[in-house]
Amino acid sequence: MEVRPEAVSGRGRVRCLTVNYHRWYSAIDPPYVIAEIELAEQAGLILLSNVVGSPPDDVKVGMAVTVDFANHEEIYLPVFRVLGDEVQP
Amino acid sequence: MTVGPRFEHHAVVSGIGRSDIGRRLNRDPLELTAQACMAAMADAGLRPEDIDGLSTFPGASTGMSLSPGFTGAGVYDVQRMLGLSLSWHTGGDEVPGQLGSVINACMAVATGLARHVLCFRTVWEATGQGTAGRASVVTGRGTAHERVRVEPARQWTAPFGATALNRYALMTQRHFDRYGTTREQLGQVALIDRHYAALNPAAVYRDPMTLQDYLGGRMISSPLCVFDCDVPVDGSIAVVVSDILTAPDLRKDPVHVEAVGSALGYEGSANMLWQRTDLRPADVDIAEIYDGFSILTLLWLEALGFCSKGEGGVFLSDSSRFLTGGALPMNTGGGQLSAGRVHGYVHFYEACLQLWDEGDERQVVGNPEVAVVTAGASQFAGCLLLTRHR
Repeated sequence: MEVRPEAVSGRGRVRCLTVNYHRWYSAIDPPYVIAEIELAEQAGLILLSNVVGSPPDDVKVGMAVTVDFANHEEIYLPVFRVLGDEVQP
Repeated sequence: MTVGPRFEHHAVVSGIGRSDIGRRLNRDPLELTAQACMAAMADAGLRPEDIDGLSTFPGASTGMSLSPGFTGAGVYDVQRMLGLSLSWHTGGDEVPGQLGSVINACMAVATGLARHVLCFRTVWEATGQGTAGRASVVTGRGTAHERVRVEPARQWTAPFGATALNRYALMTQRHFDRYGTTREQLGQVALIDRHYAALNPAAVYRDPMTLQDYLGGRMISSPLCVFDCDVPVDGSIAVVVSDILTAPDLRKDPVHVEAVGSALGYEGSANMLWQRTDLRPADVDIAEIYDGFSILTLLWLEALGFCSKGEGGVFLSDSSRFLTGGALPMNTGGGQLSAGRVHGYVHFYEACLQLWDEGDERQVVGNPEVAVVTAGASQFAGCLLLTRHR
């Protein structure tokens, strides 16, 4: 079996989420959503990330999301934005 | 899984001891360690010169020590402090839960490497975190800014503001989503712990707590509120594991180690435990179940077979079974949620205390014979079944 990186579409769904209210890092303002994002390409392939651009309470399990990249100097972090209001089980 | 020789039948618990345990004691962690170790040896009727083995979680050199106060003493600190002559010692954080350090001690006496192993766990997180509060757990104390490189394992979590706590919050939410578990059900763990803490003068938080108090608790990471998280403290607990052949020399009849579970995860560890004994969950008189977060207690109860998978919330909702006079008294000293986070050793200490009938006001009635003790979370998990007699 060959193991290698493979590009993905950046689309996925919110599998599970928590709204974090505690300030762990001075540079990251609560509240914010930490979510398990299941990538569109493969069931069970999960990336832990943030869902940004929506009020935390509006983000629901099952929502379709797409990747965005948050730029911090030389680093780009993959975060996700909600695509519409549709919720799939 | 093949059950080989049950080495744990060669091991007994001969003594237990604890230091003062509390919030911001501002005392040297070595002093707290000495207090616990001396108490444990005295309880066993042993002196430092009798001790030839030393075991701890996690010890002085550990990746986990990045968190301030996470470890208050290493094996060499304690060896020098007590002047111990050791034939065997170990410390580390890659073990079957925090009580992997006790399971290691059982192996050491069973294999003849030592006769009396002093096991200890020391924390000084309350003082160590200082005024930086819980944030210091993830960023370290004294970092003027947080432009620190995270170690490889955290590169997938820290940049997204996610800590270990958030991982357990996700695990909890997943249980809620899949099985319909509610905060009212999960909150029973905190209420049960507080019920017993009120009866334990050494517990940290002893004020009565109602379900309304719990539900109104400050949300940390939904659905976990502050009362779902254990309390960082300063303190030390020590236990002595002895070769069963030394039993005639001991101050009191020792507690027996009926079975251990050291396989990966809650279920692996619990299944292994039950494969090594003829006792069944129904035979357990006392449950001391790890509660670093309340959800861990629920998951351990399911894994141990006290209820079926997914039923943990419903099982907890009938909380009377866990309280004084109930069928399965649980976390009878207040657990880590109310008596302080001395990682698993809180539970082990309490199980032995109860089996020795030394629980004073919180003593479980009816001469309890069998206690189950668990520690850890996710893959990092271990458990023991202790009995008063064999």
